[in-house]
Amino acid sequence: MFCKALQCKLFDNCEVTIIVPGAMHRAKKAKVEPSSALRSDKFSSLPQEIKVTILSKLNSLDAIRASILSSAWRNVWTTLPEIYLCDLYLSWGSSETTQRSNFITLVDLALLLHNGPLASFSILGFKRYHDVHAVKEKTKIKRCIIGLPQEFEGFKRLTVLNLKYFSSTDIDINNLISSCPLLSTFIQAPALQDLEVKGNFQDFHLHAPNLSNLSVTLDKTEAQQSVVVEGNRKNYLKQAMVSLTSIVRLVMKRCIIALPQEFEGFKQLFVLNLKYFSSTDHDINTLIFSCPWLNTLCLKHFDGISYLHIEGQVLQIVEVEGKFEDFHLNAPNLSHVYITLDKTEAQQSVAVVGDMKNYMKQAFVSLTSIEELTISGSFLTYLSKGCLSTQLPGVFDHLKKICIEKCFWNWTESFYSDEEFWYQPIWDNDQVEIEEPTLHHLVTVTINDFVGLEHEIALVGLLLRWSPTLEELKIVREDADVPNDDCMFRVLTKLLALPRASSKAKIIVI
Amino acid sequence: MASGSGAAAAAADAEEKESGSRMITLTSNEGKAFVVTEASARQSATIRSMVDDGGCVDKGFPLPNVDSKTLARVIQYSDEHGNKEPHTVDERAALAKFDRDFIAELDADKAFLYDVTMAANYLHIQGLLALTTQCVADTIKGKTPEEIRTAFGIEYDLTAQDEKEIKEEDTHA
Repeated sequence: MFCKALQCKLFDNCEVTIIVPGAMHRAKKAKVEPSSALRSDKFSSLPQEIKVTILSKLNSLDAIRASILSSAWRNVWTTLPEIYLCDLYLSWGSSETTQRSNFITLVDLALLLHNGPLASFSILGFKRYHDVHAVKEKTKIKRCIIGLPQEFEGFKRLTVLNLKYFSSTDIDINNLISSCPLLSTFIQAPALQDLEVKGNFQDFHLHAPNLSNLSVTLDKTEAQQSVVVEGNRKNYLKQAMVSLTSIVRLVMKRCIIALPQEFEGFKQLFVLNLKYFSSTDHDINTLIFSCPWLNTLCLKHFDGISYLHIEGQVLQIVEVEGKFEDFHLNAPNLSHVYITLDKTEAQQSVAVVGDMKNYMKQAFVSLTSIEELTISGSFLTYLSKGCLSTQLPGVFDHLKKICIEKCFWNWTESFYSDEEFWYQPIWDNDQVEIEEPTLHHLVTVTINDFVGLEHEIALVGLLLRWSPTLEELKIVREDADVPNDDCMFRVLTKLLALPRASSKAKIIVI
Repeated sequence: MASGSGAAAAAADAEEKESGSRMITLTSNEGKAFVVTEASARQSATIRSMVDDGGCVDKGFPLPNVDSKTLARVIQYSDEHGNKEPHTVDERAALAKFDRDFIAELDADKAFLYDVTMAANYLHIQGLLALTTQCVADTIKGKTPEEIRTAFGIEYDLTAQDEKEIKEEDTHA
């Protein structure tokens, strides 16, 4: 409705004003019966593309005004590839405020009615607009096609964006949203399939039942985050999760993951990627558990979670990095696992001493088809302090790549005397006789931060002896900690002398 | 002549050597024949593609959408732009002056401006089309709708019924 009011202002020296949201239907009609235009005058009968060419040589305001020349010229501007609006061209309206509000309405109108691919949409304002609240801060774009230009610079002050009944491409709508830094997003888009939101918003209301791909990233601002946590505002993000019934891929950063009561799970979710988030044990575990088709799970840098229970029959890739106290992994089809425990000694000892259930030892039992395993040193330390299974796993039949990272210091402190433990941390410390496993599928080994201590060499020795198909053993030296070249030379000599089960095995020392 | 590098390349080579010297006949809708150099005719993308496709260069090209008066004017432009390539600053300035004078004449006769625009569009002469559309745009610039309608003889055909219809649509929207 606001757009009607505009007509009067835009064309106040004319008799009739006729640009309304329904105008696009009009445009179709005009094509059906062009006879009147042909009869009336030559210039109105110019081919549409020539009219567009002509209007494209005018400033956008004149081009829009050309709509009132005749029916043949109406809406020609809506297919212009470039729209450039500058408030210097405007002189109508008596007061300064009127002029500003007219310009804003003009921008709205242009966005509303433009119908076609846009190469560029620029708005150049020389006046200040922040005091014209009612119009500027709420852009309601109804029934329109949003084709954003490449040079689109965004609405720097827009706080509410309401899109209804629109069609757009994923890239365009995502650009539009992410170019509004102050936006507290409000989206209703039944047809939207792919959405990426980045920004500094405080609340997020999403209603898009057909969304299959969602990525939400909050800008790094501590203050803003705490507002979301502590504030009393309605938390629509919670609600948003309910509506995402057909989501396939969900990526969220710097968010609070809290599940609403009515949460029923993401029945089609395939990829879940959460970073820098805070949640609770219950919420995160419920979330994972209620995604029956989850294939890839990535949890990084979280807080509020102490006991992580990851269960999924079809899970293939799991990447966990953060502070947690216990970890239950039950996913028989896992093929790639990356686990890093952030270094926090206090937390670790709690795990050891405390009475909590310790599922970690069972976690590895279920990894029957694992192909790639990356674990960090502090996590190994954690495992060693009482999380050990009494039962031999013997299940790494498919393991193709093992990567043990950041091992060195924690390691020597804990297990200097027990080298075998290095590779197979699953069995018990007390077990003296260990049946040597054969690693049939082990092809590549990477050892980071290698400094050449005895136990490290022993580990390499075991790997070489156990792995008949090993092709590459990569040792990355920790430069800072290498005692000296002479020492390393002795280490290398020892390494080369180790017997190898695989004829193809080569040792690469970097 | 090119040898050994394929018949197509040789043909293209030969054509290149010939072009400029060949003459092409364009026939207006009134049957009047205009003989122009190939370089001039090649200003038109339409004719250029027909020539390159090995069309009937000898028989000439009938142009049923262009009358003699318009065609003469279009050829005047094509000759100027096709027959000589401006190399020096002076030559470029001379060509720019030609364009200015050319469009000033058309500007005075809007109906003829329309005909030339349509012909330029039909023949795909980009430079000429840019020139004429710019002229129309310049006329529109800064004028009231009424002035523009007068300048181009645009008939105001938006009726009260139109308005009513649009209002109805609006309520449904």
